[in-house]
Amino acid sequence: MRDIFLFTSKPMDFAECEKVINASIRHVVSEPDINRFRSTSKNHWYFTIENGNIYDEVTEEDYTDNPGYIRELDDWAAKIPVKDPYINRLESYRSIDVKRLVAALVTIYPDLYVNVDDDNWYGTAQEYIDTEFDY
Amino acid sequence: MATKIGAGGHRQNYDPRTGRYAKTTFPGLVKLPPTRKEKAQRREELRRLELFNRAKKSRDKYVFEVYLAIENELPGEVCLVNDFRFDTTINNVRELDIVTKKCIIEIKGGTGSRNTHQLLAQKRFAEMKKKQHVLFAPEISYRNEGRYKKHGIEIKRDIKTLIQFIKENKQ
Repeated sequence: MRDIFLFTSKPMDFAECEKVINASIRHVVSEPDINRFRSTSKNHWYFTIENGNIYDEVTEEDYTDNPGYIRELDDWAAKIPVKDPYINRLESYRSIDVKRLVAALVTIYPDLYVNVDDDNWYGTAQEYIDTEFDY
Repeated sequence: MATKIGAGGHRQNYDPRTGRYAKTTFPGLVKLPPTRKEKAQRREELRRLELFNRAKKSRDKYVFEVYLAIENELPGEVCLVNDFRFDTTINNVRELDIVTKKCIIEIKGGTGSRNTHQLLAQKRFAEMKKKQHVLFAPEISYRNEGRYKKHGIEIKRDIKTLIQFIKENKQ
C-alpha cells in the first residue's frame, strides 16, 4: 500500500470525519478505539487519525547522534505550506479511493495538503483530485 | 482387451498397469486419470500462477519486481503477495506485501518516513509467526534507515541483498 500523508492546520476530529466519510463513501467501517477508518470492499484502504507532528518521532539522542535527521525533517516541513501541520496517514492501493476520501475531508478541512511518500508528490487536495496517477 | 461401457455411456478399456478402466480418446492411446503427484503438481502450478497474477496487478512500487526476483532465484518460495491476515496482537487484519516460507517482506517505495510504529508492529507479528521481518526500501533516506536499524528492523536497499537474506533464512 502507498503511504499518503495528509496535513491540516488543525487536528482532525474523528466524529466530524466519520460524518463526511459515511455521507459520501460506501463500504466504510469506523474503528473509534484505534481512530481508524477502513474499507470493507475488496479495494482496501486505511485512514488513521494520528494528529501527529513532523518532529514527534525525534528523540533527544537524534539531536546529538543524528543531526542529519533533524535537517531532513526541516526540509520536509519546508515543503509543506501549512504552518505547524497536523499529520494523518492514509494507506491505499488506488488513487481513486484516495481522491474520494480527500474530496470528503476537504469539505471540513479546506487547507488539506497531500504528500504521497512513494512518488514524492506534494500538492493541495484539489491538485491531487485533478491529477491522473498510474495507480 | 477387456472393455466395458462406463457410467457416462462411453466404452472404456482395461489398463493392466493401473488396474482401472479408462476411456480411450485416440486409437491406441488410453487417457489415464491424474495420479496424486500430478494433481499436487497442478495445484502448485495454479498457486504460483495466482501469486504471479496478484503481483503483476499490484499497483505498489517494486512488488512485482521483488516477486519476480525471488521466484527466479527460489522458485516456489513465495507464499503470499499483497494479502491480508488476521493479527491477534492488534486484533485486526494486517496487510502483507510479500511472505515467503521464512520471511515477511514489507516493501516501501518512498523515503519511509513515520513508519516506526508500523514496522515494529509488523516485526512483532512476524516473530509471532516465527518468521524474519525485513523491510525492502530502495529509496529510503539514510536518516530513516539509521533510525529503523536502531529499533532492530532489518532493512535491505537492493534486491540482491534481499535475496541473500532470504537464502540465509530459507527453511
